[in-house]
Amino acid sequence: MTERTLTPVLTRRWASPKSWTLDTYTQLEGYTALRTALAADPDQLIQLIKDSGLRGRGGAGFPTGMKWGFIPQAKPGEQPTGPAAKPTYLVINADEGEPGTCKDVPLMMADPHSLVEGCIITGYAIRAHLCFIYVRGEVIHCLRRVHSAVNEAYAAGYLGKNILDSGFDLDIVVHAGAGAYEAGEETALLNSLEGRRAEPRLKPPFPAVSGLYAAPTVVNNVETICSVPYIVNGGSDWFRTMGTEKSPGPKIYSISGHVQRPGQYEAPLGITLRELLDMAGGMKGGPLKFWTPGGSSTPLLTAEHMDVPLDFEGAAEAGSMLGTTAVMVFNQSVSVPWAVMKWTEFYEHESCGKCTPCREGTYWLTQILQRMVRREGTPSDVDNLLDICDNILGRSFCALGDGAVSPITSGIKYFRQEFLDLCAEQPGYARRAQPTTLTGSVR
Amino acid sequence: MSSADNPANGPVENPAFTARPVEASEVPDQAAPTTLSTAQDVPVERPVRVDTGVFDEQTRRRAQEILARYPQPRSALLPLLHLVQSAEGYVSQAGMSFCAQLVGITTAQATTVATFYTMFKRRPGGEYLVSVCTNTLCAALGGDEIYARLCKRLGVGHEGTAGRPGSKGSITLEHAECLAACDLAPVLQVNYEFYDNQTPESAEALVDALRRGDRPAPTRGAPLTDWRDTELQLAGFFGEPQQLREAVDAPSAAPETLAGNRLAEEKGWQAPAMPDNPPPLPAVADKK
Repeated sequence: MTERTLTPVLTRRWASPKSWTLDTYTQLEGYTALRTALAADPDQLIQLIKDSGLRGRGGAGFPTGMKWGFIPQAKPGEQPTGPAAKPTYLVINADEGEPGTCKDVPLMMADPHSLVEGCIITGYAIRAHLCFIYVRGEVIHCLRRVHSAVNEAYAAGYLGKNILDSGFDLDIVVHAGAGAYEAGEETALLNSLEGRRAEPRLKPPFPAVSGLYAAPTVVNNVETICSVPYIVNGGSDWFRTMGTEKSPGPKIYSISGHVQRPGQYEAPLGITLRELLDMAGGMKGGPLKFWTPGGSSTPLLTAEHMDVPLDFEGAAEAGSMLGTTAVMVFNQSVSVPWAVMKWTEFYEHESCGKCTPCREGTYWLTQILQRMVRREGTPSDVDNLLDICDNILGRSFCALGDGAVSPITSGIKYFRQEFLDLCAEQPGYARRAQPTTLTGSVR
Repeated sequence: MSSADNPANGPVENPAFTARPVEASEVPDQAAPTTLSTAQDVPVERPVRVDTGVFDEQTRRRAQEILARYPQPRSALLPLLHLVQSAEGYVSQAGMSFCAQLVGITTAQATTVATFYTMFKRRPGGEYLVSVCTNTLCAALGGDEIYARLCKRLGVGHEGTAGRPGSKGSITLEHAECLAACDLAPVLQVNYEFYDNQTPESAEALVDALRRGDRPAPTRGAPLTDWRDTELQLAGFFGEPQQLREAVDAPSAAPETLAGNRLAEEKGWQAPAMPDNPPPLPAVADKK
């Protein structure tokens, strides 16, 4: 196999001076795809994205073109009825918050116009005239950059009425969130955008039929939409020169933790951790112990899995998920039960409380893990944890519950002895041992 | 929340329990009564005796601007809550009533929303909000220690404020969940601007400087202002165009952000070249 290299596509402009401005963007082929797109039939664009095999970059990997194709469209010459008679909305999920994930924030900061251009093309393809970009509230600089890009696009005639004389109208509203991980779940995001608590909705009906204001809605991740202009310019065959048959295209891998050069690395889907670590200068402070392929909701992997292809299929085959390609890498200094406890505390805090398995389950899981880390646990706690996980996985309302059990079940799968050792440190399992702090590590 | 937590709310929190008669001025604009949705969504008018007079003309004008952005008024609720938070320094009972009236829901409904989201604070806070990421990855790299040291330094815990709330140099501290800057861990934010690659010492020096009245520049983000001004931006008001331009142009790319770019440049790696002209778009089947 030839050496695999990085393939900067989405990140290509990032190092350019003032990459976030309209001037830089248009100098570097910005808004050229828009002209091509507006001259086409919207259905051709949906077909193009289907042909490209682009899959959602927000974690689930659902085929984007298929999602767009689910939007009910009125048949020509017929009076639209049902959902097709309602307005269609495009909603961008820019509520990045999955632990380890840090790709959409730098993408929006460095190249917000690629998102705006992607929104216009997508809006045209699905026949939406109003688009919301739901940006996580805590990243105000990102919000500022997106807001400013939208302003610039309006002033240049790329947004508003009759865009570039095409007869197509689109407005974009930039909306700031208010601090809720759950709002990253697409139906919870819609609830939040409707001024409600960010609680998920039962599916079906899916947002494509009944989304925002119960009207047909496409919800896409930032990186997904930013890919669209490149696919229009390069074509689906070009897009497929990167990645694998079922997971084509380039992807931003965010490498963090105990590595020499953490950061954003855009590579073809299917690259391995071994290759990525090589590019990032190798491990720091000792050999690899465990890692996540795509955020804390994707089951942990170990040093055995360094050659797993990081695409949707490869990660799943290894018993994990590709998620958001947030590659968090931990060396031997980090205690697995401690890390799992910290993540579980996160899920407990962020559980929206709508469904019982997740609300109660994360609460109890946290207490058991805290007790174990305090060395007050017993070996039966390990089974207890797995039993509770079993009652959450697949039984909660949305994927938050499934994500919450991922670190626990995978942590126990690969590092059961470490959990048991914590119990063994406590003679008789009853007396509280002298607390020695379990931590992460030295920097 | 008890009124003891929040002296500003005390007299108006529940007028039913106050001895003094309710002044007419405390009854909000009669033309825009709060509505209570029933199962059939039939609005039932209920007067709410909370003084929303604290919100000045400018805030009311801004509220109307926010409402105008959305096809349905309730969508404006989150930005409106950011707006009242910016006006008062926290989301008060009056703030929730004000927002509820504007979007046509009950104060109770607005309260359930305001209390759901972590960025809405129910007590007045500092000029600066310092948020330390203590999620697993940051914590493993030192975030927990940073948070512990700042708690000690400022003499407060989670959501505690050092200094009189709103006074110069006052700081509210919080531990935060993943702030989406893991390649720059451990991170903290001041008024939601990023301070990357922190150590306990650099974090202590940062809060010391803030307490003194200095405003060290963020690693990524605009120069610091007051937390209430940040909240105004979250409501969608970024000031004069020149102000926005300068804030927008503030730094954003850390070396880590460009790590892949730099490596590709060094090695001469590129993505496969695109065709010179966009290839023809696929044909679509005739619409039935």
